[in-house]
Amino acid sequence: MTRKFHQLTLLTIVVAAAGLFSACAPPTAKLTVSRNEVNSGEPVTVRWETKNAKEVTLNGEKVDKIGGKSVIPPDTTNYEVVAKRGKKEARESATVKVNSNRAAAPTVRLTADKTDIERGQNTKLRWETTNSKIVTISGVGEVSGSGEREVSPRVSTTYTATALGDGGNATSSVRVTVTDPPPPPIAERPRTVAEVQPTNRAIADQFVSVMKPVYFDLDKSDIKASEQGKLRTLADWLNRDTNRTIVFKVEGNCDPRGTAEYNLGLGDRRAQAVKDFLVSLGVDPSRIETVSYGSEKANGTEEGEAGIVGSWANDRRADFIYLRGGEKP
Amino acid sequence: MRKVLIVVSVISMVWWGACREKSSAQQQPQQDDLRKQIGTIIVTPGAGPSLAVADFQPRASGVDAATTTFNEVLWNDLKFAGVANLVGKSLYPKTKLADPASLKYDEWLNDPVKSDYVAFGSVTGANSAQGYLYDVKTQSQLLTASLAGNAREMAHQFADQIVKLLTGQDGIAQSKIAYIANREVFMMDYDGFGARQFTRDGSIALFPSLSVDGKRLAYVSYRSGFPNVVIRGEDGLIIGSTQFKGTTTSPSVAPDGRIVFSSSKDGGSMELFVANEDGSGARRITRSRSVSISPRWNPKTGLEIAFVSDRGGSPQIYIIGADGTNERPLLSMGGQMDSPAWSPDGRFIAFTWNGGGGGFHIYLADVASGQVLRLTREGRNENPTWSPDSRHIAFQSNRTGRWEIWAMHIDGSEPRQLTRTGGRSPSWSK
Repeated sequence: MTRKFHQLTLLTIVVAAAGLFSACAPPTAKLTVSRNEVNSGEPVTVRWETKNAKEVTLNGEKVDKIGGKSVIPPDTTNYEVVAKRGKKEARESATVKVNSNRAAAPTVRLTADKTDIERGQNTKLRWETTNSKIVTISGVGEVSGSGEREVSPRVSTTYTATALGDGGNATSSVRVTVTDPPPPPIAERPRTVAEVQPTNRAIADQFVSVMKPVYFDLDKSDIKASEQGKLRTLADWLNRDTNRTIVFKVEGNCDPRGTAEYNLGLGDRRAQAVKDFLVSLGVDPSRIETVSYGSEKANGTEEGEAGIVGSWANDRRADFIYLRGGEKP
Repeated sequence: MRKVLIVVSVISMVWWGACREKSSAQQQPQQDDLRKQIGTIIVTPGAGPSLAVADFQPRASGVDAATTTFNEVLWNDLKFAGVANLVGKSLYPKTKLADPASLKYDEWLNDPVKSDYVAFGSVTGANSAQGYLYDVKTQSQLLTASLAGNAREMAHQFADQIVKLLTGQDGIAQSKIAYIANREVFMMDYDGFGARQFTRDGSIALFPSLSVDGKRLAYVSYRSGFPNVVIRGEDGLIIGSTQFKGTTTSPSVAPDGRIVFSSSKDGGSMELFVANEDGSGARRITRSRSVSISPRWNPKTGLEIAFVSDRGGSPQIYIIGADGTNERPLLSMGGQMDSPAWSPDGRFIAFTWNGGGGGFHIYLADVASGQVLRLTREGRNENPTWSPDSRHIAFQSNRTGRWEIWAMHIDGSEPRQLTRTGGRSPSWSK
């Protein structure tokens, strides 16, 4: 019992001594500023750290023992932290120089009352600015310092308000998302033999077996001698009484060595040349449509041979496509 | 010195090769002049202002990934913009810079950063960020930007605003490119991201051409059974189309909306026509009886049209007034030329030509002087199109073994691949 009492007393004395000692320790204070020189309107962070203090003030204002705050000094300002404990005190200060000859930076704030709309709907843009001379909004143009405007963008659009002042530029953006409409309907596909309803399938089949492609030389659209005999045979067949009402299309094609735009023109010339040749042999021009596919159907990788798929020689051709007409053979 | 000699001799060899093909030798090898002029358009290392772009800091929960994307996109945008030398990030101060209160000018002004400008800021939410641009030398704030959208959109906005402040010109980071993939028209962001299908014709689509303001698209579609010109609005709705038989191709949209195209609609050769903005009222402007193709408006004046004609034997570049008057050759270099693309400022025409050796390559011609500069070296390269700021060119190249869209600076430097799954016929606009 007495032994325990002695232990407690000793502990109390030790604690009290420690307390006394620390009470005697002088307070310390540290202060830093993030920047020593700013333009008017710009923020500065002031940080301080004290030890052993009972009361801490920053420029006379009571603050935490350790802390920091962002301030916008109106003009050149001395920041001083004072740490006090009884009669003892510590202080540290730093000066932030403010270049007040510079104009204040402009500010701008742009909002939209709806940022998700469906196509055709409106949304209202609102904006306000300070310290600005010229205010523009992308897609709208120059506007006054504050205001509102209904807009109805056709596609998702970012509106950016820019405020230009003596103290620099400020921008504020708002993104208006426009919901996509359903995709446009699939258009009518180009007609091909399979999709045409021929008056007689047999005529179409015969057309395909007779009207073999005509081939061309590189970058040429004239009908070469070797192909002229072929076209005469075709013209004879087309001029038969039973075939005189057949209407068909000539498709001009090119190998992929030229440019795509040029080839569309070259393919057109090839189709025209075939048409002109057949017309010269008595085929009525109103029976012949021409179209160019340029090099869009080309798949050759080397010269190769006409009639062999995958060759340039085969890519340079005019195809015949049955459209309608003809009588049963 | 030796290096210079090698470069000079290579250039003269290429030029000599080009000259040999010329059908008329009115052009002198002055491409060094042109290269010098172009050198002032793109900022090269050691010249022009320097810009430090500090990583934006995440200032909200769950925005770390968006911040990473933002920083990557902003850096790439400003690098490709070529308006300032970017100071490498490894040289930056260790302390994070997220707001003006933490900006210490000395850290950015002195060795090793030595930057004229510093951009920084923070990502403050899933769809918001705050950016700043400071002039380090005059110690002044140039820009405070409140950004909105996803990370990519916000980075593009901020990049464009920085470019606007440093150059006075609009940036291109928010521009778009139309192109052909899988026989349909697609759109993508200027850096190749955000590809989206624009047409669903189920036919063959070719040669898309965006208007200067980016709000119209003309292209060739076989949906009628014949290649015809179709014009759509930015929302995808059809404004009009031609309804011809024969072959109608290569539309180009004037600043006032009129359309020029090439057509054999009258049954003869391919001739140029100018039509109303919906494709109606086509009026023929050429009567060459040879092939007139690939027309392109001068996007600056809207008064003249560059096109390709083979009236002289091989396809070469000509210019004609939109009313059909004042037709004249622009470039006669032999070989095959095609796809002349007029720069938005009207100063240059880019085109593809196979006369300089190595197949088709992209070349640049100064319209006033006729000087020509070769821009590509690798693979086959066609269909050039200009960025809205006239400082970059996109084109199609098969250098990877497949047609893909690429972009480069006006001097041919910094080529970068934009598509990865195939693409042709790019058209670049706002």
